[in-house]
Amino acid sequence: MRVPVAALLALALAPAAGGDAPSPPAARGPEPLLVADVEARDVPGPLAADPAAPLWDAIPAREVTAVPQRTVRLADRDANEALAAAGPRLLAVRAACDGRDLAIAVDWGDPTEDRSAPDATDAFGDAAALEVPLRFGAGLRLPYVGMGDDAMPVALYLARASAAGTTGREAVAAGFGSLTRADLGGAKVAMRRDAARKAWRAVFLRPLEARASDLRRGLVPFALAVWDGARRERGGNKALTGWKLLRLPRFPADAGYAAELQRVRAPAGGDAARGKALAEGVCAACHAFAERRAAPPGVAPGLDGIGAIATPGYLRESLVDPSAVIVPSPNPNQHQDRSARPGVSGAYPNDERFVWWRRGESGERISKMPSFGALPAGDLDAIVAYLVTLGVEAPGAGRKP
Amino acid sequence: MTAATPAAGRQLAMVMDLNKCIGCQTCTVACKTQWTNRNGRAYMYWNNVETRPGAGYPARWEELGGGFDQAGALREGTVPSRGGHYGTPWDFNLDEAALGAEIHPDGSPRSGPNWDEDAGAGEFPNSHLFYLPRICNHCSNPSCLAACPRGAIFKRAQDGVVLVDQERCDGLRYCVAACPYKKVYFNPKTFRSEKCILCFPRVEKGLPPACAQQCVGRLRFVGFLDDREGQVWKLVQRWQVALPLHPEYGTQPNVYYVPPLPGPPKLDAHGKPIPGSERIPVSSLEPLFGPGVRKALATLEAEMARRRAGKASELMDLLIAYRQADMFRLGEPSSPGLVQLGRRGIKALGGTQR
Repeated sequence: MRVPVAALLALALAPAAGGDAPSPPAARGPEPLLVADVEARDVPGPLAADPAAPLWDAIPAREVTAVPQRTVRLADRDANEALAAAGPRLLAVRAACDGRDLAIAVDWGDPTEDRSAPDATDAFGDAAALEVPLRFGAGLRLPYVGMGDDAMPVALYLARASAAGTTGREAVAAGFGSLTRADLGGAKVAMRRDAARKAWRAVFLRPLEARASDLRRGLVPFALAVWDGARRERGGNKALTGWKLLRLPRFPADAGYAAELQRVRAPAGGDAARGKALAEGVCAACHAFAERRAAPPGVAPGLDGIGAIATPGYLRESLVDPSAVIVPSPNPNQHQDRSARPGVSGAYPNDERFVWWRRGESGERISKMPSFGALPAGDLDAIVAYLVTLGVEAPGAGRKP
Repeated sequence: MTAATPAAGRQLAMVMDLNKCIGCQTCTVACKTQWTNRNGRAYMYWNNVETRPGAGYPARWEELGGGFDQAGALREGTVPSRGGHYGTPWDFNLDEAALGAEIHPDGSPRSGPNWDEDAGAGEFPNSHLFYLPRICNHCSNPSCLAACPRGAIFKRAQDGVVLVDQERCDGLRYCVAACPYKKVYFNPKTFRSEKCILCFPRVEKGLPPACAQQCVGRLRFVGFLDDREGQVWKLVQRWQVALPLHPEYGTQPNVYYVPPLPGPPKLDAHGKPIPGSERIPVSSLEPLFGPGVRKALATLEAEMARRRAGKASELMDLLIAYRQADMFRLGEPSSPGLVQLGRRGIKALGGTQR
């Protein structure tokens, strides 16, 4: 059964209503309606990782927004200066499927062509990455979008502009810092520079059925990231999207899964202005966001851009059950406890205040964030309604491909 | 991932007596021929000897940030460039020179390691300089380790050596930016970061690092910080004449320096010595070695005076370095089977990879 695709205009996380989006067919039947962010075009094979293939001209692009990663801060001064001025970036996404392989083309604007160089220490290549959950479907929550989490690992496909062309890589991850090269079964990537339009196109090609990752479903979650080498972006210093949904028309969409995804993506419906006041009064003690910067840096994840990368359902869950998904703290050695006695070699121990979780009695990890489940439902709705506004400012600040 | 602290294990340390360094670069060459003369490393100097006052290597490295702030939080830093900081290696027209041509470098290099060698500061006859050999400080709180978002840098429990796991490293260079001494280098050919490994394969066999063994001035002592029989402990703890470089960077560095004495007195306009004058101003040493430098110099002067008076001085005997074998106390050689950079090796060594 094919789930009809219809527009749900109110979806807070669908800033994708680009001008060239196809007009949706009318809704049929009583099933839950879910807008896929991108619909793959069924094509005859074989597909190639070819950014110049005429195929892409025939497929309308859907736009998704990537926002600079401001959840954790990295230690490069120049990169952080560039980050301070960085706004959202628009990515135009196309997908094609021939029944054996899936190809995803991502276009984005970047005024400068930056490649890693064989003789430079400070050259950083422009790059892009595709993320898909290793497991997904009805009954399975989405992984943490920032490279997955302990329970829900992700597969990653990376393409970086290098002197030789494109450097590709396959990897798996279960949270920040865990990215590990892995052979996932023959993915191919390619990047192509369009000098006239000052834009990149990256194509990711992988078998639908790959090692430990089977995408032969009607609805496939994916996320994208791009790096601008001129801003010295690399690693966690990047612009990323939230989880987006890819419709593969060749396969039946699981109505139950569609309903679950719709629930986590549904807007909170609260009063964002009241939520702002609540967040500024409570959340700002540990989290930095918008004008609220009083929290000690690193004591909790930053919330700038959270509305663009997290679903309302995830945000609500984080408030009610903070231990459901524990975002890995950055390297705990970033903070020394100078009040402690140095060890035999003069080393200060790490400051445990900057680790975002503690161990429970049976060794399980417990978030240090208290649960706000006792708040009235209206307050929770209001806070979530405010948080989703963080990072989804008008994409006019971004760069059109 | 645990909040492992690097404080747990033993720490190997090095003391360099700057009063004996003649800037011959034998240590630099020993290191380069052993580790960095190939495969993307030509520009790297895991060991370098720079002239002070001077820009150092990479040029103006002290301005590039990194380390920890007063509260103990990691400070951001900058990745040095080949053009602006490291310089690019070049060759000379030696083939032509052999046939009588004037010798000149290929291209027109404008900077490089040791570019300002022997320039120093001050006007003749009162000019002054001293040499500062530098390796990785194998810090007790390494900021390179703290900055790595991938947990690719670890500190060995048995000797505190700080290493970059070449399997985990992804060439992101946050460690390069965060090291305040700029002693982590990016290898653009392997797309990994690399650094001084304190010659750990030699150390595991009971041998000192190549730079220390080859030093013609015998100015490098190597031993464990907690080994009270070792000369390192005696110089650092008992005599307190060996001081860390830029302790304010907050990484607890483990290379210690016996600071340079002020040198012969300055000369007045008539060429006569000015009594009590400091050729190398002590005020210029405090920013490098911290406030302990005055006490260390006073101790050195007092012990030198004792020796001149024919009295015994343990400190002078230590610094004279009668027997090279006494300068290196590395303990029993550990198992040669552990000479591995890989993850399996790290686990076996109980390293503090987070």
